[in-house]
Parts: sequence; C-alpha cells; structure tokens
Amino acid sequence: MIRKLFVLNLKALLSGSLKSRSGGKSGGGKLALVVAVGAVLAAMVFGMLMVFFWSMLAPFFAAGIGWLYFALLALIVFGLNVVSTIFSASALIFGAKDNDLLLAMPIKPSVILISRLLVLLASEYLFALVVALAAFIPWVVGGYATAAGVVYFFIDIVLLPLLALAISLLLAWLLGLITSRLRRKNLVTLVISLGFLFAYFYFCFNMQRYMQELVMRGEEIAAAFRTAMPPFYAFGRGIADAGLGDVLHFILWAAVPFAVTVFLLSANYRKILTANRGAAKIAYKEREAKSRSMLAALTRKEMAHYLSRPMIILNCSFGALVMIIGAAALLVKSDEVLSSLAAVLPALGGVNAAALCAAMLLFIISCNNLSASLISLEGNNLWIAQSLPAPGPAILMSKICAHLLVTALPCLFASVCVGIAVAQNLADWLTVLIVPQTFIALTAAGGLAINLHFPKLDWTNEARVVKQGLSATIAFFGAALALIVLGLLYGLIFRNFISLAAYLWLCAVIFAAGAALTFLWLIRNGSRRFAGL
Amino acid sequence: MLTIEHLTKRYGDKRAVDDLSLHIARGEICGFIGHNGAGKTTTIKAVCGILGFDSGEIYIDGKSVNREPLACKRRIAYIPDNPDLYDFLSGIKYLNFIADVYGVTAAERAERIRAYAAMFELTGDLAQPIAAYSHGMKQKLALISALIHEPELMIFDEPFVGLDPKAARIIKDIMRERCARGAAVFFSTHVLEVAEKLCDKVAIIKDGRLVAYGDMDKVRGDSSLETVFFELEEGAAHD
Repeated sequence: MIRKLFVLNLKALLSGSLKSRSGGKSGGGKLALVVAVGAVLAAMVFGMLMVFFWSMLAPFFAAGIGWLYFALLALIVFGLNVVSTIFSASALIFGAKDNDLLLAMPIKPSVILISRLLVLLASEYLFALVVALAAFIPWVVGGYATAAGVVYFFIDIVLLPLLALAISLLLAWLLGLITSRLRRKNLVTLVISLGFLFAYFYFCFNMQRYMQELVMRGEEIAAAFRTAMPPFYAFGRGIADAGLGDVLHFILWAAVPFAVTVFLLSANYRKILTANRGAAKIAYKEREAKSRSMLAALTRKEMAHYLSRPMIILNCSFGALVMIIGAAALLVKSDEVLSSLAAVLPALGGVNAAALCAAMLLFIISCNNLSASLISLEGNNLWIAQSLPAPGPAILMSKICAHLLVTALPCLFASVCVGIAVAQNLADWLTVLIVPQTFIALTAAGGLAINLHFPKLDWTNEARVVKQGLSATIAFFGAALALIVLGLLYGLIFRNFISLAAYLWLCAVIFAAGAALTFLWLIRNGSRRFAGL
Repeated sequence: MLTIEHLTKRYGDKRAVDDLSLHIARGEICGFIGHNGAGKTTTIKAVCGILGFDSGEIYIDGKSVNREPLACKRRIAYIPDNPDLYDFLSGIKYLNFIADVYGVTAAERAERIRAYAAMFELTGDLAQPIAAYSHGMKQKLALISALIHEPELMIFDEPFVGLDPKAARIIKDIMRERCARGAAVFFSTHVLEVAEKLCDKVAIIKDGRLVAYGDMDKVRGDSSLETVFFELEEGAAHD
C-alpha cells in the first residue's frame, strides 16, 4: 500500500510535467524539455557549489580542520532541505486535498503519512545528491579521501535528509498550530517564513566572510561549532577522520529525531488532519455595496488569491520582497552601500553606478514569476472563469495586472530609492526607472504565455504548481538564463563598444518589443487557448 | 430561449453527444435525465460555452453560443454538479465579484444578496471564507451567485445534491417563479420524482443520443417517469 500511495503521489507530482491535460502521455518534446530544464538547473547549482568546495578543500585540510569541509556540506544540504521542504511538508503532509478521501479508505493513517514522507524524502535526496557530489568530487580528486571515509560519506549523506525532514515536519506543524487560531494567519505565516528565508540567505551571502574568519580563527570557531552544532560536527569528523564513533554519533542524531517525529505524527495523524482548531467566526455586517469594472473585479480576485497564500507570495514574488526590503535598507544604510559600490565599480571597468543597480534590479525581477502560475492556480475553479461573460483577453489581462501590481510597484519603489542614492543626472534616473519596467512587462506576458502552454490544473495542493510546476520553473530559470546570457554578451563583446547604460537601453528595447509581441499573441491566440483548457 | 440543433461532441473516437436537438421556450422547465456518463454534463457544458463541440448549433435567445459567446453567457446562469468556488474569498466577496463581472449595479446587488441570503439562511456566514463552508453552503452560495444577475436561462447540473430539504424547496420555488416571469430552466437530475413534479418538459439521453424528448405528460403517458425511463434504458439495451 505504501508503494502504491507513494507512486500515486509521485505521479501527481510529475503529471503536470509529463502528462497532457487529457491524461494521455506526453510527447517526447515535452519530456525532453523537462529533462533539459532539470539538467540546466542542476548544472548551474552544481557548478557554483563545486567552485565553493574547491576553494575550501586545501586550506581546511592544511589547517587540520578537514571535518569542517564536510560539516559545511551538511549544513548546506540541511538548510536547503529544510527551506525547500517546509512548505511542501505543510501542504502535502497536513493540507493535501485528498486527506478526507484517503482517510475514508481502509488505509492506516500511518501508511498515508509514510507514503507522503517518502515523496518529500525523494525531493530532499535530489538536492542532497547535487550538493554532495559537488563536495565529493573535489575531495576525491584532491587526494584527501580514504576508503573508510568514502563509505562513511555515503552512510552520512543518506541519513542527513532524515534529520532535515524531521525538522521541516516539526516547523510545518508548529507553523500550522500557531497560525490556525489567528485572524491574520497569512501575515503571521509570511513573516515567520520570511524570517527563516532571510536568515538562511543572510548566512549564504556572508559565507565568504565566515570562511575567512574560519581560516583565521579556525580552532576557536571549530570549538564553537562543536558545541553549538554537534550533529554537523559528528558528520564532518566521521568522514574526514574516518571515525566510526562519530559516524554512529551522527546516525543517532539523524535517526532518532526522525523516528520520534514519524512515530508521534503517525500515532496522531488522523487527529491532526481532522482537528478543528476552532478559528473564530467572522460576523457579517452589511456594508454599502460598490460596483467595479470587470477588469478591476478580475484583478482583485487574482490579488485576493495571491495575498491569501504565503506560499505563493514567497515562491512567486520573492524578488518583490527583496526589492522592498533592499530598497528600504538602501535608504537607511546608503553610506555603506555607496562605499561598497565605490569599491566595486573600478573593478568593473568604471561602469555607471545607476546602470549597475538597474542591472541588479533585472536579476531580482527575474525571481518574480507569479504570472507563470496564475492559470494553473485556477485548478478546479476554472469553470467559473470559463462560464462568466468575461472576454478571454480581460481574464488574461487581469493576471498580467496582478503580476504588475506585485512586481512593478515594488520595483518602482526600489528604483526611486536607487535613484535617490546613486543617480547623478536625468539619464541615470531614466535608466533605473524605465529599463527594469520593460523587463517586468516581458516577464509578466512571457510567464502567462508559458503557463498557457504548460498548464497544470489537476493539482491536489498549490505547492505543486508554484514550486514544482513546469511553467513556473521554465519562467524562473528562463528569465535568469536570459539575463546571464545578456550579461556575458556585454562582458565579452559589447563592453568594448558601448557603456553599460547604453547596453541596458538596447536590452530595454528588446524587452519592450518582446513584451509587445507576447501581449499581441496573448490577445489573439492566448484567449482562445485559455477557453480550450 | 434555448435551442440545440444536431449537437455532436466527440472525445477521440467516442461520441459523447450524438446529434442532439431540443428546444426550451421561455417559461418552461426542462429536466435532463440519463445514467452516469450518458452525456448530460457534456451537453450542459457545451450550452454554457465552456466546452467546444464538433458540429451542430446552440442558440440562446436566438444568439449562437459559438459566434456570440459573451452575449449568451450574460443571459445564463450555470451551476456545475460540484461547485468548486474560490475558497480564498469570503462569501460576500465572491458574490460581489460575480456581480461586478455581470455588471449588476450596487443597489440591485445589495437588495438581491440581502433577499437570497436570507432566503437560504446564509446571511450570518457571508463574511466567512468559502474554505470554511460545507458542501451545502457552497451550493447555496453558488445558487445565490447564479441568481444575482437575474438570468433568463438557468442551467443547473444536479442542483439538488447537497441541499437541505428547505433549500431544495426554495430553489424549486425560485425556478417556478423565474419561469413565470419569462425565464427558462434546463437542469439535469437523477431524482426522477422531482423532475416529474417540477418539469414541463423532459429530455432523456442515453449514450449521447436523445431517446425521449417532449412535454412531460406526453413522454410519461399513463405511467410514471421512472417506468418510462427504465423501459427506455432496457429497450435501448435490447437494441
């Protein structure tokens, strides 16, 4: 039964990517696209991590703290797993739509739980594999590996996701418990989640500084590490020094929390799923009715959906959050930022500061891919949009408007803050204000067009659309890849002929033309495609 | 009010609806009966402009669903058999959303929401998120949203499923009242007694084809609708 449910969950996970809407098997082209997107994604992450681990290998082993190399590997895998799984755990373990259906069947709740845990574990192992290989190859090629160490490496890396999953489950359950009684549960969930995310990213962005401090104050920090994070210390020592005692120590650290969590959850799973935590009833008071235009009503509906789900806010508009927080920080700490920019600009060939900030904004904008999920998010509600007397272009335009509200407004705020901090003249102001907006127009229209081609409407939880949907993945990495290519083109060729600001304006013209063409396609063909979903 | 001419819809090789024709005049209630998978929902979705079809024509108040889909949709109200509503909205926000899309004025919607919500005993729950509604409450909300723009043609797929007896009674009264004012109703049901008592016309579909259609009295003759239905089912099976 566990195997059947696991396969069912896995099929649900993959169905958006590999099956057509009618349920038939996909063509080779779609499968190839999925594989290609996955491969590019894995290669990018793998490449970055490999460089990171190579740079640490020799200094750490030379300083006699080789265990820290693996402890950091464990920390990265653990962090990635927890951050990537917490919402999936919340949606799949506690909030899946088929809970009632499965609970009504002659299946033990613990079996339902375990089948879902296996799906989460499978995705954690994928992350772990990419990071572990990026650390394993330098270690072996660098000649620091021992036979026992290699064996312990594989044992530890197999067990590490168990610890991460136990923590994710606990956090997801706590999050649900805390927020269930609150009126503003979405806001609280968002704030807590943002806290986790920014703490994680803060750690990642400061990794370089930590590394330098590690090399300078290795023993001191290692001692702190040993005391504060014993599982990771045991993980690192077990592999680097091939110490069986440390390996056994880590096995306990990974297996016991996981076993206890699974035991407690499976013993209480039915109770947890069916608990009515008694959210307070909201009294209805009739207010003066207001009528709105059709586009305003449709856009408000999209925004209501977006604002009601912290998971969508975090996954589809992370760039907007970064822009708002970053822009506010820029105003508060403009002196520090300007001095950092002044230090960086000469190394970049003296590029214009405003142009550099505009380019950075483009990369942040690429993190917003809301429009690429908005059609899939209609799910079982699609009949409403299709039966209403609303023209297809108006429905699509409302989704574009939602994307623009979520991205263009924060970007405008960020542009103004950047302008105040670095703009020297009108041209600088125009660059930071207009260039990012053209890219937003392109990503808004492009994301929607991609979602029309790869809709996933038969989801059982929204996380599958937003986090694992093919459309969202293509939009996110497509935008990032396009910017990387444009950046490389400038660095390798165009910087010899034109300034960065001029190059950005050239890009803006291309973005605007691309956006206009995609808008036209959406109006002419997109609405027909939407009606046929 | 509703004219279907030679409607055919295929899914691959299967003809889900095969050369189906019927007409419902203003003031008529027409029941649509058939076993599961007979083609009722496919027909209804085609009438509402949700599902395209391969051949034939559908007219609502003389307007083609294919050529003037928006004009047709403005005249109809549709409720599916299992109404999944926007669970991220509250009941009142959902009703306002529907009213905005249909262009119902603020004064008209306020009056209608007040009246229908009181009728269905849903007023106290309008501020609740739809996610907290039971199936019956969702059904009631869907019914109110369907009535908010005073449709000329009401198309319901299994409208009585999940409704409590009082709400079922109210919806029957509303159907009759709307028809008395010149609207028409086309609904599918498996409850033959309800169809028999409520409908002026009946259409029985089997394997995509209409096997009986006409005024209730003529189709039923001297026997009950249930007897006629099973005779037709068995007759078709013998054929």
